[in-house]
Amino acid sequence: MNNKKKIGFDVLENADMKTIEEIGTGKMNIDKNARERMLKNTMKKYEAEKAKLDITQSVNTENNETEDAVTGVEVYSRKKLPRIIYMSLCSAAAVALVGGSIFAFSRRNRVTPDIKKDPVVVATTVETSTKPGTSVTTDQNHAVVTVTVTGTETGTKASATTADATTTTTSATTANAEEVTDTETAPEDKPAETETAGAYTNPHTDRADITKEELEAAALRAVKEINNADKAAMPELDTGYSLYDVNSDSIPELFVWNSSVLSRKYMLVYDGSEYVIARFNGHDKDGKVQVFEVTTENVDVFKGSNTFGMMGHQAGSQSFILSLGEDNTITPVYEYTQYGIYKDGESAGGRAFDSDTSNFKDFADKYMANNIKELEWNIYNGE
Amino acid sequence: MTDNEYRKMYDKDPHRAQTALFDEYLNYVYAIVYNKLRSCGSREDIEECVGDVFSAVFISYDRNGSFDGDLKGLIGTIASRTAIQMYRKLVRHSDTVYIENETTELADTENVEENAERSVLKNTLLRLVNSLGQPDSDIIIQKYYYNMNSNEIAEKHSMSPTSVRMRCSRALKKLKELLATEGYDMKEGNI
Repeated sequence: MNNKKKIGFDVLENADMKTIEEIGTGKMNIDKNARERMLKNTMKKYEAEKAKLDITQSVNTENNETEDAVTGVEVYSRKKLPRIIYMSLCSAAAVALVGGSIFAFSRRNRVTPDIKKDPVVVATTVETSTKPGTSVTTDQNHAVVTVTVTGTETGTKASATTADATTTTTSATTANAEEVTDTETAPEDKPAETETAGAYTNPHTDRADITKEELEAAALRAVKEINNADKAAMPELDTGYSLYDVNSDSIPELFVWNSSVLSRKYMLVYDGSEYVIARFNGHDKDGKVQVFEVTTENVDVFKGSNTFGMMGHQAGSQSFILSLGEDNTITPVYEYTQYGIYKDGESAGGRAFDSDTSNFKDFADKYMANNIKELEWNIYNGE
Repeated sequence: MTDNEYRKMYDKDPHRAQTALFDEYLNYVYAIVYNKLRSCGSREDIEECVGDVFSAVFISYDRNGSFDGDLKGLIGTIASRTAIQMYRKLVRHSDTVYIENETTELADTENVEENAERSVLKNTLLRLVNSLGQPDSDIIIQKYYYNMNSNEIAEKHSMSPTSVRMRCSRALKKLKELLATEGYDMKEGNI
């Protein structure tokens, strides 16, 4: 029997730059026609991209002209409060957390999908407890703040009845329940003919005991992973990250940025233990629903709303205005890609060709009409 | 072409500068893109990706006013990154299930043992191919890695297609023998 290892030229694929140089970069035969074709294609893409940039810049300039001048920067500083105010705030925060949990739970039940006949009602108990210690939440401006709860342990129990409920991450006992535990497989449940891109449910958590330290540790793990993966292709790049609560659910989203030539940003959501890259449903070239990741050259947060945007630099790349629900569902509001234009999930015209700058202007106007929040980036130092 | 040379040329005639840069780095960019898309992309996909790369390079210069030193390094980085993006796009549009694919990719980066073995195979193959000497090593790479036909290879080496076929056959036989002495078998249908 032949026990020799098999080897083929496919082993040379996806090689590093050194190996590609060793294989030889001048050995293939690119004939004159192919060269002409690629040059023409390059210039077409370049002109379209340049036009896009010009439009974006002019829209930026117009917006700046109408804006009021703002000076100074927002600086977060931890202030020492008098003890009595401090205790009052802590108590209020504890009440808000408990009340919020009850409210969130009751609201979840209200949006439960249609209840089938003869529902079997099963009591479900959700227990929320607030322990002494430090927890993290976000303020009305979406910035991360720390809440410290003192005193003895307090507990609140909320009861609810559900039937035919769809559960995500909370544990619930239901009759005829559809449990969606792996949200990544959700799009495959959609029929192939689906043309309307609905919300994509990313993982989320209802935990109220998340500490700032826990979030920062999870954020650093995610940043490290992205940094290592990106650095494999570009050893010289820098990576930065920022925590900002887009959907006001008190758990900040993680934004990661790197300094590659085209620059790259990611948005990640917290699933209760780790930050994972957020996803959403868009459309592919056939108008079918396709899952996209929130990563492109620009990911912008819009102030005062739960919307954010993705703007690609490459001609024909994906650009979106998206809405992030409290349960981390992402719904496309405006989709502008090389495959088409969609507003609120509905097709709004034909395919957007590279040179289709009039449609892009409409998208860019809508995008720039939002008040883009400048995130404060922490540079990841590899530790 | 250096950053400085490109800038001078660009100041006089942007289109000429871009064409000159395109011609100088076309083979280099094509080789990088080909390496990433060889197994999943068509010739049209590769050409499309090459167009994306040069477009991004030109835009990068327009935006920054320079290439910041190492022009070749910058082009290589953009080519590599753009090809990886194209690879992901092509794989997602294929029949392969997206999630599985991603899992494979993630697992790949963590499988140190497998990566190390792949690296050994790669180095062994290249070393043995190079040991065939010129022009046989080039002919083997052109035939079995770049999938060029005998006529294209012949044109590149100023030989007749028949000579190319003959040299190629002998070189392949020799390569198989060399591989056998190192404990390897050439994959069937993948040479």
